[in-house]
Amino acid sequence: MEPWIDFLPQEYRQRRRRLRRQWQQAALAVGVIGLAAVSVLWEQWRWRQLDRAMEQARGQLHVCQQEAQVLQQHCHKLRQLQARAALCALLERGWSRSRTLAFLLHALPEEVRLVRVDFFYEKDTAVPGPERPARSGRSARGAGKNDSAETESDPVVEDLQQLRQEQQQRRLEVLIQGTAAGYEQVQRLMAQLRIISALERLQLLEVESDEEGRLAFRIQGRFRPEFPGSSADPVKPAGDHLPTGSRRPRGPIR
Amino acid sequence: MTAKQHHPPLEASRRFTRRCWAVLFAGLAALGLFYHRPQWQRYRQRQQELLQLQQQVQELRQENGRLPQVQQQLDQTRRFLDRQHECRLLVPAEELVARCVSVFSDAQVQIRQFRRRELRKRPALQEIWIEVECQGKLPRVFRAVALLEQLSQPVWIENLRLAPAGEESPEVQCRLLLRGFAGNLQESG
Repeated sequence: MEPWIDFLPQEYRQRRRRLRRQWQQAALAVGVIGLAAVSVLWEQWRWRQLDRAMEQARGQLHVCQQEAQVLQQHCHKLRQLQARAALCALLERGWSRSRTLAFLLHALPEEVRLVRVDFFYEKDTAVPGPERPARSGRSARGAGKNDSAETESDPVVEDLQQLRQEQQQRRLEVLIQGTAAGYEQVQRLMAQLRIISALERLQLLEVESDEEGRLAFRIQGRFRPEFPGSSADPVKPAGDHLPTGSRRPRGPIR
Repeated sequence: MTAKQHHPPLEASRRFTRRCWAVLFAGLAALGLFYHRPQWQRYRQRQQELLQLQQQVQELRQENGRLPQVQQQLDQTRRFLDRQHECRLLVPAEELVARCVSVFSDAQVQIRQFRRRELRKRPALQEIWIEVECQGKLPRVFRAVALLEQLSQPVWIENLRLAPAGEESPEVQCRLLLRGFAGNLQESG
């Protein structure tokens, strides 16, 4: 190993070392300050991104809210129109009297004479009493109820509710009075009447022989509840009584 | 000039450096504590808001997805009502009564009594009660009843009573209680 002679003064070496350390420290300080600056900038960038996303979401929300408002208006309108449509359907007649009569006369056995045929409505006792519809109008509006209250205050809805309730609480009945030569004919008439599928109940109320020796009878039939939307043929099989869309009854008289 | 005068003592230089570092770290700590930390908290809050907004938008979008369906239902209902109005537009009460009368004359049934009982005003509709007593041959009376049922206007047969007109008469007597509805269901507004 060769001897290494350092002629430089000790002081010079110290100075160089110090200078180098100073540079290192300055670089480190600059690095730390730079890091801090970058963190601040990054923070700013993050905020800008978030603000942009917020703005975008707010814009979307605004559009959605406008759409929701349109939807609400449409729904309100739809409810109103549906009430009108339901009322129109409700105003359609129920069981066709003419068809019932036509069938009755067609099926009438010989030796049976009709004295009286009566179609009338009777209160249906099976239906619970009238639950007073929230007397819509002002009271509902006064209660500050939302959309449903608005719809209820619609006069069409009021009419619909009242008529529907009325329809639910009554049943069409038919009373047939006549005379027959014997009990057999009455039985046959009853059997024929049972074909009328719209009749829910058929009762022979009274049989009495008169002075001429004929039997006077009274038969009462109760119709099934009428449904809106069709002038139903009462003689069709029970399954056919669902509303079909053909609204007008066909004329039974040829 | 001595070496001591040219270069400050090592100890003083180190103190100065330490002070510089302390200031730097204090600044860093202050930055973290007073800038980044509150910013971070605010950022998280804002992020929550954003999430809520996005959720709201999502929900509204789902809800608004019904719009075409509702629009379609609306169009269908409008078409239905238009059809209703075309074929059975609710006519004024007077015209309804006139049409009822014409039914009996069309069927060639003799009206013995025709009485308008009452006109009841409902919130949207008018209800007219008509009592009709007519007489005629059975097929004609039938025809009258059938024509009444075929009227395009809503007329309900509340009561229908058929009985022979007399002991020997070939005619039948018919008593009808009719309930007609008049008014306007045209959509308003």
